[in-house]
Amino acid sequence: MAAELVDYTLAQLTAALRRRECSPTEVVVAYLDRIDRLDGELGTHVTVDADGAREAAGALESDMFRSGPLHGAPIAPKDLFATRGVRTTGGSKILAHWVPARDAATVARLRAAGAVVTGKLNTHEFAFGGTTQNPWHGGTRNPWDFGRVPGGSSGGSAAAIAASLTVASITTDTGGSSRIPAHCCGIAGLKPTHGCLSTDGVIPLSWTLDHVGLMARTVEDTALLYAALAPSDGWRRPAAPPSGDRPLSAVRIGLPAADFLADCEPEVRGALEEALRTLESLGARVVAVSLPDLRIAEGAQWAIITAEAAAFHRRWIRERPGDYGGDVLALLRAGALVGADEYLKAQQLRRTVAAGITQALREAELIFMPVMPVRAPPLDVAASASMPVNGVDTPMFTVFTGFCLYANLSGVPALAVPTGATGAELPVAFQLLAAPGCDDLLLEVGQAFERVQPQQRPRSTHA
Amino acid sequence: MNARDPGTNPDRADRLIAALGPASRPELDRALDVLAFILERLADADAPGLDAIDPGQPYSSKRTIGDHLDGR
Repeated sequence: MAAELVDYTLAQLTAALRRRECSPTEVVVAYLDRIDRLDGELGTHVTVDADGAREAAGALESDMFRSGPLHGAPIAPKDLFATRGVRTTGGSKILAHWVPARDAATVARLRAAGAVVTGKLNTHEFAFGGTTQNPWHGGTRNPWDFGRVPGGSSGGSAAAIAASLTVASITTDTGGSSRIPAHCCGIAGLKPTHGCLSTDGVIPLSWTLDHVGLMARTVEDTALLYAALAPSDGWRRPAAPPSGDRPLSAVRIGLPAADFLADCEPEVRGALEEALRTLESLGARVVAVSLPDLRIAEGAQWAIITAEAAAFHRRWIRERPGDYGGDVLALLRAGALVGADEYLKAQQLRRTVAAGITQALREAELIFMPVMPVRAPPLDVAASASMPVNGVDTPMFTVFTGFCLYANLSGVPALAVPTGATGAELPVAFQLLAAPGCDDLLLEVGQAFERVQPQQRPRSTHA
Repeated sequence: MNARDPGTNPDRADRLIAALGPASRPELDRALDVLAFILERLADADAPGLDAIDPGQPYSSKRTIGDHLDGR
């Protein structure tokens, strides 16, 4: 029974809990047991709160009728979210012993919806990187191939979900940190519309680019999490569930004219082309759209993110430089050298990028893009400054975030959906972007896709 | 001027040391490599007009960015 419980998706698990086929305590114990057996090798957790989780599950046993839509579901936040009474390190040495007095707003919503917080998940140090090879809390392995990175910065969340060490996670996304690991680990990742989920109580990376993200094994699970956590105020635009043989017949999917697919390695390009054909078979119409120039978008993104991060870290980088990993310290020091005029130029360019995305989303309901041009890179390659992609030496900044940063600069929602390509040794995801507030449309289209394209799971999760 | 090379960009290197304390040459080079990546890309774009952004209104709320994207 315990093995079956950790195989359930969030939708299956919450349904089983509602039917009282299992209890919150049974579920939590099954997950804690699995973490105990597997996480020594996977390195997904910074902290396991076994006592707190058992206590919370026990309290839910007698509170069945008062609890919310996530009743009894074990969900671990990325270790960037403040958790009351449980240390919150930000993946750092500097905050290694910080025990917050209160929960971050989204953690509070999670608990109010009935979720049980089982622990805190590993992240690239201060969420500033794409590999989740953390110098202070260990490196997270990719469950599909232990020699490859899980992506980042929410790599602990993605690997834990893929390996069934948690059923879902709340994460962050400043330049793709919820979508990149989703691509690398074969799960779903949503960056909602900017401001949709509160960043209150989240250790900041770049306060004008930071978003709270959601990750789960399937798009259906991500939608369930979104419905439980997102406010339903006036700016959110509801979407009717698609139906019929061609459920996406009202949807135009914009394919960037810059041909981003041609910039991808053959295995990624093949999986994305197949996914696009599947979306077309569901009725979607593919149209060409123009997007702003990638190099300019990259300049704006990296000027803003490094400068804002340097502002937050200014005192520590002067007083405690030895308490940072070398990669993060270099980014912060670079940010400290971005001039005010350059920062403002970046914000100006950001607005032109946002205007370009807005225009594209007038010509199509969704934009279809890769998440990354390659599958999860090997550990040694990911640590280098660049790697060859289709024979072109490409900066790792571009490899990890080039396709993701459009949604952060513009604030539009973006969803990473595993292609589920059969026979693949490593997963591939595509991402869809929609107009602000159209998060529900993304989730409906993603679910329509996964209904006809079942997802694969890594072999290591069979342990 | 080459942002990557503190030898040809002494101003940046001096600012780094003044602002952040002494760093080893490899550490300095690593930070300047990142800075070069940023500045090369920013230099590719003409600055939009000053009306392209109100510096007093950063993207700090969903209303700000939502309104912008809606063309309001």
